[in-house]
Amino acid sequence: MMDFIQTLGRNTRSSFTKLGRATFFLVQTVIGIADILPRPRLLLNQLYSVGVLSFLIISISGLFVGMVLGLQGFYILSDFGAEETLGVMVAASLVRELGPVVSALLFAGRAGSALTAEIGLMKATEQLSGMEMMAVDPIKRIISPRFLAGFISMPLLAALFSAIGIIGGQIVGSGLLGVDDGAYWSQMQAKLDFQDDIINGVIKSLVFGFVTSWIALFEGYDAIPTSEGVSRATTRTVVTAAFSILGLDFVLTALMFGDD
Amino acid sequence: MGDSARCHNSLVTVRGLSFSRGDNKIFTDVSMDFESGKITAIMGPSGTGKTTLLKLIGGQLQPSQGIVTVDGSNVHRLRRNELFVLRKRMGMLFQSGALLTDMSVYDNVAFPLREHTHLPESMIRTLVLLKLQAVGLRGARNLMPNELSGGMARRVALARAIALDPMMIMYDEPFTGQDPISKGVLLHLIKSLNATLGLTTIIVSHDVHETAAIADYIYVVSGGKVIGEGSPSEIKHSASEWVQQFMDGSADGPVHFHYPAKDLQDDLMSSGKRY
Amino acid sequence: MQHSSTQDTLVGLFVAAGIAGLFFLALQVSNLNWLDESHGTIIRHGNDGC
Repeated sequence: MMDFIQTLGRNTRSSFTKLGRATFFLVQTVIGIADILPRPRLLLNQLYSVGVLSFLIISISGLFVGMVLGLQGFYILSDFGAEETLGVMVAASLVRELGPVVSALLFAGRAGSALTAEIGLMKATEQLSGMEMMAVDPIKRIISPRFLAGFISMPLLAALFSAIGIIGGQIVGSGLLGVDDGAYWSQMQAKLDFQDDIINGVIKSLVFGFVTSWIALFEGYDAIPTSEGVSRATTRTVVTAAFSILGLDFVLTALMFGDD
Repeated sequence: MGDSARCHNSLVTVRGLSFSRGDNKIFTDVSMDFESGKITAIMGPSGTGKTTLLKLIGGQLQPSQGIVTVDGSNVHRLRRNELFVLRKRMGMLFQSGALLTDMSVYDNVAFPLREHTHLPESMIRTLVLLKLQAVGLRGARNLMPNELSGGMARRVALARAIALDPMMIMYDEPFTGQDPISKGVLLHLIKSLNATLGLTTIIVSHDVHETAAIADYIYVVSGGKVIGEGSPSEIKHSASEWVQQFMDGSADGPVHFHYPAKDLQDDLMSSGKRY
Repeated sequence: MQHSSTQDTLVGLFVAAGIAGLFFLALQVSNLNWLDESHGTIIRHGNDGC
């Protein structure tokens, strides 16, 4: 029993110190963003490795998720003779929930793990200390551009995911299952609101992009500089990011859609 | 020994330095002088925190006690931007080379120049090629770090470390894991850079013969203390048994071959309990 | 660092595609009407007529 309490105390203390380090790290990272603005090339390179390289997995997954939604939605809605509202169902679930959440989960798996591994290896191979000894701040030079790139890429990727998913739902719904094409779009346009649905979805994906990039970069920066430490940190990034995305999604949904 | 004669001309001084990680004391009350324009070596067995000492000199770690001054300024009292200004004049060669893996050899050497100067690209090119020429790798400028051998990577890192024409350079285990030819090349480079550029040189190493061949002064460190110092010949004829064992590489001596254990006979006769 | 022109193009395409996705969501999905009656389709109609 004493052991248990001691372990609990130790774990609580270490999680709090880690949270403290992570917050300090985040503050430095955000301050460092100011230094990227005169050097857009740093950001551009990271937009490539964070955004462009996640593009394929996000768009293909979006297409399939949309197609599945079209299929499942059609089966249920046709029981009630409400096939024309398929567009509403597909678009609402994608724009409000699946677009931001699934694309953030995929982003954490594709880009987040890669960021952690990259930063962790840079630490393990002394590249970060080397930079420090060359009087270059690794947070400003390495971390901030990656953070900003993640923050910018996430809403774009989520929007692509939703847009492609809606088209996928349309392909299945009106192309294969015979839902009226005009009804698919017009019902959707009538029921979805720009402010409530689109903007809130974008806000969600901004939050997820912020949190995922923060977790991924911090885990890499805080990794124990050995191959084992880096591989553990990579796993931790995916697990922590997934939990944070899903937990925050609940909170954000309650805040955004709770009133009406 | 020679302390009064040495200290007035030293670029780096370490006074009463103590450092610990957790409960583990790495250094206790260490004092050293690194004379300007000379090659000073710090030798000692693995795991005595020799790399830590370089990081303390470079201001990457904070000591629990003691003072480190580099060119007259107390490294650990400097503000961050002042420390960065000082570091531009300190080169450091990491054990792994620490080259940036996503850049070519050329870009790696150009990195500090591009970060810290506003020179035009043509001027940077000239400087980079001259630095690469000095380490004999001008022809390798388009290779990526993963295409280099360990020795070449260290030479590129050396070219990068001298890119800003520092006043001093610190080598962390430059000879470890190198084949005899690479060792010879590095020895020659360290010696010639020291001579031609007047670089104050600090070498941390446990390669006794290579280091003793080029060093002007040697500190032997063990158990967090300086246990011997002097010129290479003084060290070779040191009265300390420990230093003798280290320099000769004998298997047994003050540092025992056996890890502390109870008597062999007792151990064998004791019950075969599993641990 | 190398191939930077291809990389630039791809980044440009990525950003453009992302913004196009956002516009698609705004105009086609939620029917944002800050242009009042004129949706994308009507403008295109007019152009076809020319």
